[in-house]
Amino acid sequence: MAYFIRTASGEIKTYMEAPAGTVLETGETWEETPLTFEAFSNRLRLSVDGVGGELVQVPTGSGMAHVQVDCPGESSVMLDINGLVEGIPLVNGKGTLALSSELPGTYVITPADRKKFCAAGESLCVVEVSE
Amino acid sequence: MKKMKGKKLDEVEKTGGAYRLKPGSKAARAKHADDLALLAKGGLKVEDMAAIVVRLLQRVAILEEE
Repeated sequence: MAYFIRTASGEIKTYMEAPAGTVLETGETWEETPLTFEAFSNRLRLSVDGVGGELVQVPTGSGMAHVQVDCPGESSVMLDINGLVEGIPLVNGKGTLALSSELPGTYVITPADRKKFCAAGESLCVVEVSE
Repeated sequence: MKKMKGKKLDEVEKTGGAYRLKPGSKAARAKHADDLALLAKGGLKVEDMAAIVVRLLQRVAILEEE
């Protein structure tokens, strides 16, 4: 079983295995799910070359960085790419999106539906195109 | 605990099936400065020159929109 905190606006703020030691802010509520912590985490996973949940760095001009999207049981998922919300089609829960490394900068990819998914752990992908 | 304000994200656009950082982003402006330095230095290959021209045209289009 996993526990998560929902904000006053209904978004999932964070989640954990045990609800101990955390003080809620105004309007926040605890919810519990029958899923294990791992299963709850694995509902949406973003990775680049198998690396997820940490900063991925690619050099400028190194072609496309392909983000693997793994969202079991879904036929599509809405993702937020630096504020641009896009629907990513999935086949057997898997899909991909390509990021250009032509210009230096940072891509931050998060789930657009924060009421369903938490923008933390492997559901958050940061790709830095370094000079 | 000190609350921190996140920095503004670089703008992206989708072209040709891929997501790209917009030429007007902060990082792209830094690239523009690099391009100008390379142009001043001279001796560029044709393909490098072409890439710079493309970026300059994109930057002009964004400045015109602003």
